[in-house]
Amino acid sequence: MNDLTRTRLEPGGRPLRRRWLPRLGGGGTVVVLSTIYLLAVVLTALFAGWLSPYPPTEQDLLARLTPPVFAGGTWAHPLGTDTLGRDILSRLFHGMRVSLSLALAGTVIGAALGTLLGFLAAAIGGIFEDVVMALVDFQASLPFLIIALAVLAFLGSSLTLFVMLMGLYGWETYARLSRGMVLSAQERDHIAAIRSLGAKPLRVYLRHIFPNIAPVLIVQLTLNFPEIILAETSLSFLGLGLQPPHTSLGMMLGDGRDYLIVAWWIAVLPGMTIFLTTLSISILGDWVRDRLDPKLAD
Amino acid sequence: MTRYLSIKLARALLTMLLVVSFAFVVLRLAGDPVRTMMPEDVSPKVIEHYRQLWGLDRPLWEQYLRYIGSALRGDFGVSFQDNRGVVSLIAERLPATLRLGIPAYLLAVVFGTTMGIVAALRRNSATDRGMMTIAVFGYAMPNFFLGIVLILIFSVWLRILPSSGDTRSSSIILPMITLATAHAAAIARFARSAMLEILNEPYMRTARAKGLSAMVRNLRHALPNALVPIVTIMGLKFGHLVAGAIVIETVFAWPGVGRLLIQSVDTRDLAVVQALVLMVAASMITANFLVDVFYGLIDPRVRTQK
Repeated sequence: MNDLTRTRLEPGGRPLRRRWLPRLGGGGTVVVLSTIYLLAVVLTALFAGWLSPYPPTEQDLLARLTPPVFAGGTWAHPLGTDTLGRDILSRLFHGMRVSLSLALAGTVIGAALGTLLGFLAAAIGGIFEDVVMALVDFQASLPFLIIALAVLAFLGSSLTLFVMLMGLYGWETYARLSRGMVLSAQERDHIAAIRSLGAKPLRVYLRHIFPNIAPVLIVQLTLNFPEIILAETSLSFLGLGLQPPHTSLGMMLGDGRDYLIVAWWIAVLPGMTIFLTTLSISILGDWVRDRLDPKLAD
Repeated sequence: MTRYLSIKLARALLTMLLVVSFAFVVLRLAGDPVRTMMPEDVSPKVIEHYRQLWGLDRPLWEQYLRYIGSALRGDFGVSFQDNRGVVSLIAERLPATLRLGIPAYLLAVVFGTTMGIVAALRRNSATDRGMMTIAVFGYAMPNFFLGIVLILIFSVWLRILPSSGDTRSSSIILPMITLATAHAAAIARFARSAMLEILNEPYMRTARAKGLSAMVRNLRHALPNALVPIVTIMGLKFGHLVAGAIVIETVFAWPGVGRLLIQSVDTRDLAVVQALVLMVAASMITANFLVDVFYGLIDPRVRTQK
């Protein structure tokens, strides 16, 4: 009885929304700025088609290498043009859309896959658990970029394959985290009590264990998301990610690398966009982590 | 300790076997290498000849065993591009990568740990906030973009440092700073939280209660304990040396293995890609294993648990 009352009062035992919503107040200017920037990026990505003044691949060879308006250019191309006279602003909008969608798809697939395998490993145990953990070790022993390069070298690049690769990024962290937390949650008294009341395993895992460990997984999401953006833009920068006619921020940066002397803006503008995006997500992620897990806050 | 070590060693070997098998499977999925390499209209006789020569007509399990055998002997075949042994090709490029990677690594470790520990000791001060702001910037900055910004500032505008290649002794400065930044930022964040965790331990309060000075408490009680997780992350980062070099070497046209890997992926020179993947995996697995050994040596709790 004593144990049951204590469990009820523990913050971790309550449903997630009641636990962290009231604490969402506060936060510094930086957090507000990051949020505004991210909202702008998301809206731009969503409405890239309407907002772009030109189609992203439209060439205007008469207006090649026009500088941005603040560096002596004209309002016809507010952020200038690249070597083929394509409008940088329009390409940025479309690049944001592609990079964010890829990162989002990758994060969701990776989180779902990893969490599922972690839960199953903890619930089933035995050989299955050993296999999952061996795969986790395998994934952790190779940097993601190396795996991606190997797969792209051997199998060639395609959109489907690329999305699947992004989904592989970081799954092992979710698997390891959720397995560990499920294993320790199973030992808790209130779970034993719920079991003895006759709850089915599925209900126990979904309704009682998952909400308890969700905050940690959400924190992991915020760490994972910027890393996937960096992984995708790195691959595209190296020319091994998405192929034209798709436009990715990394690809634009890679194109601009050879024209630094004559047209710095081709590389710098997409670079700044990537940097500000990952920076904002990191700042916001830190803030969310402090709210969700008071132990980590300082 | 023996039991602990043998478990860790078995795990390392198993992981290596998985990596080697991964390379084999992906290689097979890539299709028949003879068909990829030969012209379209080559006669079936020629194809058969090469299939026999390379043992591709054997059953799959036999190919797999042969493949593992030759990997164990260090035989990774020849590059399709220039028909040279893959091992000598890599050996030629490796020194450049190490010459760039090792100083960058040391730079990152020195700066990262110092910043992290100082920030933890001056927690919530302006120093702490300043250092952690730098760390967040360094962490979020894509290293290829940092490289490009540095080239722009120091090579294009100020014209004081070379932008690419390995032609002068000053060529190494920009790639080294770029490579070190991200690692230093990650280590700093990690070192800070490791140190903070130790500072909150009850034995630190005890040390304070018995009247030890801040210097003794921090140097003799906190630091050795905080070093355990810090050394772990340093070991893991060491394994990332080659991986981290891939992008940087491309940005700065540095003639190391990272660039070799990208070129080989571009030309689909599969033998080279495969050997490099195995090399990176082997170095990371070794680094992880050494970290485990080190852990066992300094922390008795680790080696007694199951």
